[in-house]
Amino acid sequence: MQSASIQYASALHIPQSSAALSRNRVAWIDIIAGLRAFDVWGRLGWRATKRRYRRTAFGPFWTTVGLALFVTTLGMVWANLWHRDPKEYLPYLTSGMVTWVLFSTICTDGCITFQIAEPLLRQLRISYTLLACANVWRNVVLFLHNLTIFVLVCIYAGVGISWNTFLVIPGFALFCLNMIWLTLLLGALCARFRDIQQLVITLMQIALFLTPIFWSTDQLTGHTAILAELNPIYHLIAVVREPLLGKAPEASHWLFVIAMTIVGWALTVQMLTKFRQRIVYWI
Amino acid sequence: MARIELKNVVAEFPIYGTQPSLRNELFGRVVGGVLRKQSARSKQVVVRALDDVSLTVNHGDQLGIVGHNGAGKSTMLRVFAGIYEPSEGAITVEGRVSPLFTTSPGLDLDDTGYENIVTCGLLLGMSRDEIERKMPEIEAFSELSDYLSLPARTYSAGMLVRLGFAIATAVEPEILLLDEEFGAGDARFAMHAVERVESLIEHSSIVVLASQSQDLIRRICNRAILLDHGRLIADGPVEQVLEVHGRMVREGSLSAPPVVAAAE
Repeated sequence: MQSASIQYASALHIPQSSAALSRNRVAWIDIIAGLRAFDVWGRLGWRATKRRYRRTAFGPFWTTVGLALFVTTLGMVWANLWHRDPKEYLPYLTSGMVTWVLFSTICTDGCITFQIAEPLLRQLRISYTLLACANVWRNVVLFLHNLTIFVLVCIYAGVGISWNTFLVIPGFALFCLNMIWLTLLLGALCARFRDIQQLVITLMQIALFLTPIFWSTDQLTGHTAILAELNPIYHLIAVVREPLLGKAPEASHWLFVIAMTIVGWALTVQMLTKFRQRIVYWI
Repeated sequence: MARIELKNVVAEFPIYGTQPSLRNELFGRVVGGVLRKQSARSKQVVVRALDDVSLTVNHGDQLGIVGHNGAGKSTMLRVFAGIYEPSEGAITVEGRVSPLFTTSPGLDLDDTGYENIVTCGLLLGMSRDEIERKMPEIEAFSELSDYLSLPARTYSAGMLVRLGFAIATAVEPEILLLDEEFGAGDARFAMHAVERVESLIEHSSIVVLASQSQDLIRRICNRAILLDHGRLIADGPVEQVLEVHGRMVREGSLSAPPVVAAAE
């Protein structure tokens, strides 16, 4: 009987048989089948981006234009203010800002991922991980739009491609893996407690200034420097930003991010085991 | 072989954002579900939508679910679809499920008909090749012709139903779950839909239809169940169950639809 029901295990038909399947097993099926259903979450994320182009010439590029203005104007001001070479500071600011925007939009969109998907969740026994992947993918497409600013800045500042640049592949993969579990946790939490979303939005505004995006850690001294090292967002952004700048991220960044991946996913498996079947009642 | 088995299933909805109040007490008398406090400790209000239901649906069953508004028909369909997991009791569902409740899963009004066919098809578990292969069939059945290239926003309610129905039935599900709203199409479409379901019955093994329409139930189903207040009242051949339903409505022993609630 068990094999018969598991035969239908896919991200779109999570098997149900309360007798044969433990909740933990269902949580794992949700995660693994969800990650593997790239054709489905790819489609969902891609369509969402396509829709933003509808009846506009530039679509999401408007966000890019805004971001470009932000980094060039403020970048010049700050470079002057802190007596830094614009050719060194602008690539630093742009790479950080572009990655930050990816992080913060995934978090804020993550809060409402399940609430927006309500019509879908009330019809299909679908993988929640699949929806989280769609959220991350959609924002990655927008990130690729924004990356054009960084490319232009690199041409201006003469930042070239080196072997270190390719470290962006494992760095970005780890980044995304973390964003998926973060979306799952935030999505479930915000569905149950509606105040969390407002809290996340507020925290994001502050975190932008507390994370080394505009400034760098070597500008800090004493206790503040140690506190900055404990900021998980700093490390998460570093594994993407440093390779983009042609540098190899320090070992501490890698270790921190790998630890986050393990702890985060362990928490997420626990959450799905306990609450997966409840989420639909919360939305 | 498709099969659905429910053993002493209880489905309860926690209601968030309400305090237990007099209002809930009043509602409990007028709507189908039984409102109750879970326990004195937690002030959580829950609606018991299905109460101790045991049922086996086998290969070849075309099951009609009857009952008044709020009796638990839609909940029952969603329990079959695995969306609401029973808070007590056990359930086993074997077979590929295709639901058609309100709109097609994944339908986006800004996308064109063709785009929606691909998205919904993928969500219902079809591969891209499969969708490509079924496209002419879906085009023909939906009868939307040129409209398929327009955003779904431009469709009428009936046209949306036609599209949804064409996609939901194209997956050749082993278990097809239909909510009454699929009857929203015009008379000609309703006839086509019934024919389509009848042809599906030949290779899909279980069809479940929740409907107020006795004609539709008679036409499609070979077995019916009657729900009241989330309890299974009758189960058997269609005519027999419809007769029990009719008798209970005449005697007024079924609670009336929530008319009084409107005055609140």
